[in-house]
Amino acid sequence: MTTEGEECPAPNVSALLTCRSDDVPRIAETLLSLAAQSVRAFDVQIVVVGGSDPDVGGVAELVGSFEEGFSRRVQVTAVDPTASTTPFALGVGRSRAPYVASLYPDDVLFAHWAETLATHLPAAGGRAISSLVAVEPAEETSWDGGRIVTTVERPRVSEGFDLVDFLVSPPGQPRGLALPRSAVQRVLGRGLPPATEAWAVHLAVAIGCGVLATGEVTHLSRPLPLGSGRLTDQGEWERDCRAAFEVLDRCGLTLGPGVLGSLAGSAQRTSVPRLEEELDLVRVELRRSEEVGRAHAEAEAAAQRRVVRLLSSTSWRASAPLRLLGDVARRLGLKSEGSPDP
Amino acid sequence: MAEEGPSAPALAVQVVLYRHGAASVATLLDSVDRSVAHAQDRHAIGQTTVLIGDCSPEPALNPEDAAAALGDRLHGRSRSRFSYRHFQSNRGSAGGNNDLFALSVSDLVLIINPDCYASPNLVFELCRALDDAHAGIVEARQVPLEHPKEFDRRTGETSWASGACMLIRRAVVERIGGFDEESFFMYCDDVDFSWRARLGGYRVVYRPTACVFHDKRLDPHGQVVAGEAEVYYSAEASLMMAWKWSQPERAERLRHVLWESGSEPHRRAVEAFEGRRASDRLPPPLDPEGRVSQFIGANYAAHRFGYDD
Repeated sequence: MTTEGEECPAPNVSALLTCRSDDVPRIAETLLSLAAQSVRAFDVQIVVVGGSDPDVGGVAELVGSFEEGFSRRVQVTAVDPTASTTPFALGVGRSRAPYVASLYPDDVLFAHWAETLATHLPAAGGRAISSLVAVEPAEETSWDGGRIVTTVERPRVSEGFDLVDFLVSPPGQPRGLALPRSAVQRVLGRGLPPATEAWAVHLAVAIGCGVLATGEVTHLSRPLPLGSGRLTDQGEWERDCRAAFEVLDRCGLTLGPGVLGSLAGSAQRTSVPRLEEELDLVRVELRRSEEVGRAHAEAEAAAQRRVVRLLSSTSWRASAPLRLLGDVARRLGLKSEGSPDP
Repeated sequence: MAEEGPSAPALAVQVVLYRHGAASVATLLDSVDRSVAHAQDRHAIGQTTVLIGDCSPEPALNPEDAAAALGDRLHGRSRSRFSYRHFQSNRGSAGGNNDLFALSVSDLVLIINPDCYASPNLVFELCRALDDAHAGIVEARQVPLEHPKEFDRRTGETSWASGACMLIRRAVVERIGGFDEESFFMYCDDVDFSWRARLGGYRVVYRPTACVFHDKRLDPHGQVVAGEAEVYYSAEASLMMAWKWSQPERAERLRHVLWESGSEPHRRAVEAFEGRRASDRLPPPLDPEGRVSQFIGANYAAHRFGYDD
């Protein structure tokens, strides 16, 4: 009998799980929910921040306690907090999947997260893919020398992804979005402030590529009263946002110049009616930009499909010896008759 | 695998299938194998047998291939024995598990749903709760949607244990006689089983460190997704619970509410209940003093919150 469990399909998406070295107990249920996915076309990149070898060993040991069908698709990497590469960028760099999605300790996924992505990916056309996130308040208590998380209220499902809400959101962690990795890589490495890097990348990709909404609730976030998220303070966040906007304004996001920068600090001014007018104008601009971005993304996806078709076509394979001869000739400095000068 | 201690209790793992695919069963068994091996390494359990009972109209697994392929999976780490049986009829979760009870003589029985996935330390953590000699049934904590029943924060005692994943002492089954398959086809069989165990002097405990993933999903309004069969059998079970646990007035109120809802599955459930009453097939009521039974709103325990609040 053959079963899907024995196959190791190419990953559609990499789950990027960033945690601290002392987060090992907190990621156990995140990993459990990944191991229990209904389809296994994904891999997991865990980046342990500030981890020493024993700490990483703790994460690796946890991963290794799962069955091999799952554990062999998980990669654990440590990063020094002072390193020039951020955990997010490191995780993206290690991914080989066409999409990447961020997870955080204490997040859990419903069993159809990977399946939902696989279903919508063919129609995504290079867009980001958003799913709904349920938020379930929880409390942390000790139990028999260990730690348990107990949910205390029913989960509330958030509204679907809204670019402007995301833009003016207080310091937060982007959940529920899977981003095309190629688009992420175009934004990374442009000097985004580390604290806002993941948020700014999600924003830029959503603007630049457009977003496809699945309408499925695939994530559960369980914020704890204390200690979860480890967000930067508001002032620091806004300073970093302004710096991020300056970088994004140089990224050619097809927004008018300074549009993002004009919103810096807007979270503090939400009570001002004028802000609503500003946001309405930005919404129009973002929608237009998103349409342009979507067209770009679709064109790029179509071009990639054409390349794949070409590379797998009979004529391309049949002409391989000729191309090889051409390569050899170029290396030898020979010119075929009639070929133009460089 | 480490050497098993001479007194390590034998375990039977019971899974009742209904139209579940080979791939999902294989994934479940991989997780069970790991979890059993983890517990064996710590001498919490000894020899283990995995029993799969299939209620599907046609065999969900090819019996010969299943024995070979799935059995091999279990042989890898935990050296569990494996048995697959197609029941030829839909016995429901209660009847299916009763049939499987009869196939082994293990000291402990782990019942786990086919849409579950065992965490690596599930079996070990469930076993630890049996250090309490009075604990007869141990319930796992479900992820991602935790069952919101209240529990004693010190002892773990709770009103009833969910049959999605529970560890049972064989002695409990022998004492109370398994699930009441005549009254409960697939919902509330676990509540009834738990309450009868408590009437028999056992404790039902929740073990929050024993995690199991149970594939429950939310709709965009935050409601737990339920199919038509779940709606029907839940309604029928709620009527039977009220009757069997000496709440005749509640049964009457429920009968009225379900009928007036206009929902087709609800009305069929009421008709089925009336049919039993007319043919004298309702069970004799238990626990008239309410020593163990708890009817709180629509629930059988105090809840921290409700998914449909």
